[in-house]
Amino acid sequence: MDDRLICRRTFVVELEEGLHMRPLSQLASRVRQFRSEVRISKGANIADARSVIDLLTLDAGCGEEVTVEVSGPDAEDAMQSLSRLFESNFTESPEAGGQDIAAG
Amino acid sequence: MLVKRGIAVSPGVVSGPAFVLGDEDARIARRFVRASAVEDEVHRFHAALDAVCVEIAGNRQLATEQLGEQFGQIFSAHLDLARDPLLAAEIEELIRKKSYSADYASSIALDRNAKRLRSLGNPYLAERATDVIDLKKRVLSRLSGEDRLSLANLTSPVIVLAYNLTPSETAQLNREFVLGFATEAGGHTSHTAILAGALEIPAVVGLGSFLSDLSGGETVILDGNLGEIIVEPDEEAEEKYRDSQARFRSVAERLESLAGLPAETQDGVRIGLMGNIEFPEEAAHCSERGADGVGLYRTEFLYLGQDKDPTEDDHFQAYSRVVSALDGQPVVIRTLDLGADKIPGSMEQLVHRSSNPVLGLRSIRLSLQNLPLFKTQLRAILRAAIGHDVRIMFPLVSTLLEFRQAKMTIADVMEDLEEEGIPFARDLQVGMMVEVPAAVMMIEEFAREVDFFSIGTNDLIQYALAADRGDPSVASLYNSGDPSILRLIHRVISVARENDLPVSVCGQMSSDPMFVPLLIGMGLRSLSVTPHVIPELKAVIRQLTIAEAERIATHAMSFDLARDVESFLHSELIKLCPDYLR
Repeated sequence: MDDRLICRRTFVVELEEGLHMRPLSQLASRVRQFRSEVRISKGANIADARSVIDLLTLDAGCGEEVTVEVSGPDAEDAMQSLSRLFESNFTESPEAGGQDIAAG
Repeated sequence: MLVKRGIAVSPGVVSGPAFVLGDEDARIARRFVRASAVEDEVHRFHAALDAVCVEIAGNRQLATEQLGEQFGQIFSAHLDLARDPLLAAEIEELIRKKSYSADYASSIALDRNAKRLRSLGNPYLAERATDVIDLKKRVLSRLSGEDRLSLANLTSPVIVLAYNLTPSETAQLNREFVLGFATEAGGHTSHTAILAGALEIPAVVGLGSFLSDLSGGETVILDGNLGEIIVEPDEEAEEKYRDSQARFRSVAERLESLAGLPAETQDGVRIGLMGNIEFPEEAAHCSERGADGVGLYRTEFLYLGQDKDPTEDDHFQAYSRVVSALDGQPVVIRTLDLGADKIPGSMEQLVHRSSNPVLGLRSIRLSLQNLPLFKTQLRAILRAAIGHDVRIMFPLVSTLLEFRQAKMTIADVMEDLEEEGIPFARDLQVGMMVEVPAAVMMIEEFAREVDFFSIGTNDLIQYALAADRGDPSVASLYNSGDPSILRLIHRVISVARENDLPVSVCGQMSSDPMFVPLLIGMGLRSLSVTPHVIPELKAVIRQLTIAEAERIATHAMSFDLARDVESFLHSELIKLCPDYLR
């Protein structure tokens, strides 16, 4: 477990419509750029952050808290990138964190 | 022996082995695969999923280009779901661990996820559940598409049995090997039914559930005249089949002898008999049977069954073939009439989003909101019309404003062609389909602006009686003989005649010999019909006098109920020409 770091951070969803399809799609495709595992939880529900459909079932509305847990070799970088996404309220431009928009 | 009654949509009596097509939604062809085939099955699933992703991406691009970014977004959400790695892994695991077929595994996993989203009670997530179901349909349709393709690889004659056939599947049926087809779903005026008639393949639709008892290969008798199928017939049924086939042949021979004679009543009134067609190839069917031209050229098939919208040249080639095949006879080209049961792949998402598609964005409404699409078609018509009698007809016109806008678009297109120095025909007649009750109410006003009317009874009936023609539970309301329909049609014919405007009836109703004396008695002098019924209608017309037709019409109009109208018309028809009825 030497190369395996675990980072955990909690964010408040500030998007008016909650974590809906567009931000989740940004989130999932960003997660897929890292080697680390990312889990996002709301209360007792835990979702695999690579999966849009899993994330949808968190049903995270505006004002609710979600916890992001990253574990793996590039956990710190991944957490930093995801933090920027949450902090910019999902308006961060793709260049800052790689290709966000799923290529057609 | 199993006997099922459905709706006869294309005549002819045939017998042959059953070929059962699985339905992607209601039936999964195979639920399990052998352990040795698991790897292939996983591969098959991924290939189908990849194809679906390509298809969605293509739709997104089309929607974005033609309708704007917000429509393209609809497909982005679909694409995100299709590319969800957990979903794919879940399906793959079901195939590997349980030896489920790709179809069954996809169906189970996607249903399960849709249910999960729906159970959260959030309306937004419930909508996403619909997207998951949509994805399921796409994947299943890709997967079974392989099986369905085998339709194209038939090597011996069969009778095709399916839950349903899409119009494009019907269009691709190989007439050499498909003796006939029967479906569980579908109604009289579904596009599949219209196509079967056009292709002259005996067909019965709307049989209700029967496929689950069949495995394929059983002997089937299909009677497209009565609308009946008999599975594994006993000897008596076989004999009856041979009799009715013989009768069908002898009537067909008698009718053929009429081919060279005009469609003229006993007292010398010539009735125009035009053909309804959907493919350029059918233009020949019209002239072979002595039609006076094409009264309804449905152009939708240029849009269906392919991924891309047709180019101006695709339109032009098709129209040119039809007009030259008709050799100087009139050709009425109906502009795009898509929506409800016939939607081009590229627009499916948008049209389906409406909860009530028959009352939504379709036909002329769709054209007026997609001017580039509409203008492409109009340019091709104007160019192909040079030196020919081509007429333009707009479908589903509800208001005068729509008709004026559509006419204005023709003027715009002419101006463009003029500027570009491209030759085109200038003096075309421009008319409309009368198929919305509102248009019938305003028919005097329309008469001042149009060059001709054509009554589209299929839609007129469903709108007037507010009955979905495809819904078996209300289909009994949908009735050509309903007194209200007779009154609507009578009103249009009378106003057209007062204004010296040509008027025709081009719906399924005019192809039914029973209604022909009635329509002529109301004053109609031109009918546009499925080409294969032309000889039969000619036989009816040649037995008729105008006075007789008027008596029949007056009497038919005096009934209160559709069933009385129909039984009266039926008995009159039998009196008129007992020898020519199938």
